[in-house]
Amino acid sequence: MKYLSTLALSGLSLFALQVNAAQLDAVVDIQSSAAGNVSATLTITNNGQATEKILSWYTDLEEEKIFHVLRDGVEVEFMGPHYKRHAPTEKDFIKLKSGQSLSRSFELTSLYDMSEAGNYEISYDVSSLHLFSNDQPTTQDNGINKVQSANIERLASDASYLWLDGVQSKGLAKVSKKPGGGTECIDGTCFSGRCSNSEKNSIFSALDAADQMANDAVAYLNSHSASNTSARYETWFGEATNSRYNTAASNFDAINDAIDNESITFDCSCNQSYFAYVYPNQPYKVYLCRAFWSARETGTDSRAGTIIHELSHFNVVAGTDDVVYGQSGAKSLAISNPNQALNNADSHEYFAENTPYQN
Amino acid sequence: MTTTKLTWLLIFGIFLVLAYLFSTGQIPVNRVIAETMTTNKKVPFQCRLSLADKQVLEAGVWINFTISNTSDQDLELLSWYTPFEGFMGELFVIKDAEGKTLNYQGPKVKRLTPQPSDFISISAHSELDTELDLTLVYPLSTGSYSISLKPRRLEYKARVNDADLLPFNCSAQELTFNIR
Repeated sequence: MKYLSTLALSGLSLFALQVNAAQLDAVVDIQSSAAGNVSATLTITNNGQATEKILSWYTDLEEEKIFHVLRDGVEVEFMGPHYKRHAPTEKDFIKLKSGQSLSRSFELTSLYDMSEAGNYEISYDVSSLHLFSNDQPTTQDNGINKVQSANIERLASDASYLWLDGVQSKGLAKVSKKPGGGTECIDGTCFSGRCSNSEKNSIFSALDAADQMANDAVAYLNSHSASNTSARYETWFGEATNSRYNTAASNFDAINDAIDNESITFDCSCNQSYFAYVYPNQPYKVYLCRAFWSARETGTDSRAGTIIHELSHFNVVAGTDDVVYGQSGAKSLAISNPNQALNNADSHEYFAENTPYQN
Repeated sequence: MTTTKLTWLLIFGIFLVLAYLFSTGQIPVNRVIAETMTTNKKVPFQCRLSLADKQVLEAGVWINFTISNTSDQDLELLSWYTPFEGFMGELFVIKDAEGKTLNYQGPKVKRLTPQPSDFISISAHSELDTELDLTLVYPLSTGSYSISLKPRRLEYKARVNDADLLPFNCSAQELTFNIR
């Protein structure tokens, strides 16, 4: 009888360990957009009678990897931050009264590599020593040595399923590289700084348009000469000499070559009002900012033109500078200083964009 | 005769003091060795660069940029491509002892329309200055260098609400400095 009660008691305590805070329920609702982004809404509800607590880090994708994402059964890489933390204090816990719930939405494609087509399985799944309380682990003496009973507390939701078409480049297939470190590559074009699927699609589309612009610029320069320029050349680069014309031709050859043959990395982390920026001595990484996303794909100061502009800055490409900015500035520069126009990134961009169209 | 001797002794004494100060480097540390001013009657601004001729790499190589509004009215300077906004583009041309231009290692930023916050007010007959650490974006090491402002068209407007920007050139003569 004594044995039985001990067994029953230990069985009870084991049971208690596994259903820690069963009063909290987690539900994940998944929505995908036409542009390819995936929004996950996490709702945690306290269905019990008493007030419950949950460690706030585990309710925020910016703080912890809280979703488990599989593509066709294989876990996909999480590209968000990993923090090393101190032990939690009381203020790190969120209190949920009986019947109360918290709800938060997160965009997943910028933090999980979801660029490949496939069947995705998404669930909320977190485990921690201190998920539901700040209690210290208890120390027990089993007679031989002291054993710390570290109870891992866990909260998980049911899985949601979703088919994604993925992100595809068109006609820009190149050798793929695997650089790692928050950077992923698709057909030779790489992404860092949390580009979402819709951003990746926009970039591929803009890069495709930039490729066409560069091809068109090279074709123009191959079919004209210093003694046979037209309004298009003269508007942006001014009066031609053999030397200047050759500079224009070699600059656009280099820009075209970078698009066709180099692995360009686009970074989406910039939240400034700029279009974009580069470090000229660090090819071929282009940082895209807010004005890029609100620009049109082609035309004056477009996404495609911005890519031409930025590539021209790299020292290994054309090493251009921002001598003047904007169309009117570039036009004046072509008249006042044609040599400087060939050193000006916007002049190259506007020649390539060719808007309004000139022969 | 005695007066002449005394005068010579005095001159010699002053020379000794100066030689001592010079050799111990007490004075030159913060001494501005070269200042250049570009004056153009049509331009309402004057630009000036200054830096100490002897520099220590560990402390950073700080260059001072001053712009003066020499006109009779308050003006709004566009901070783009000026040292007032930090390194958003290539601001300086730095050459080493062999005359080779150092590679700029900072960012180059594409922007389109200046915002109201991009302008700095400079009152009539007053000046503004700022300091930048060149070691942040230029591969400087010990040696002799020359530095000048990269020629660039800057812009300003006469009134806050003006739409039209007026261009001007802000140029400065080459300075030299030495890093120990």
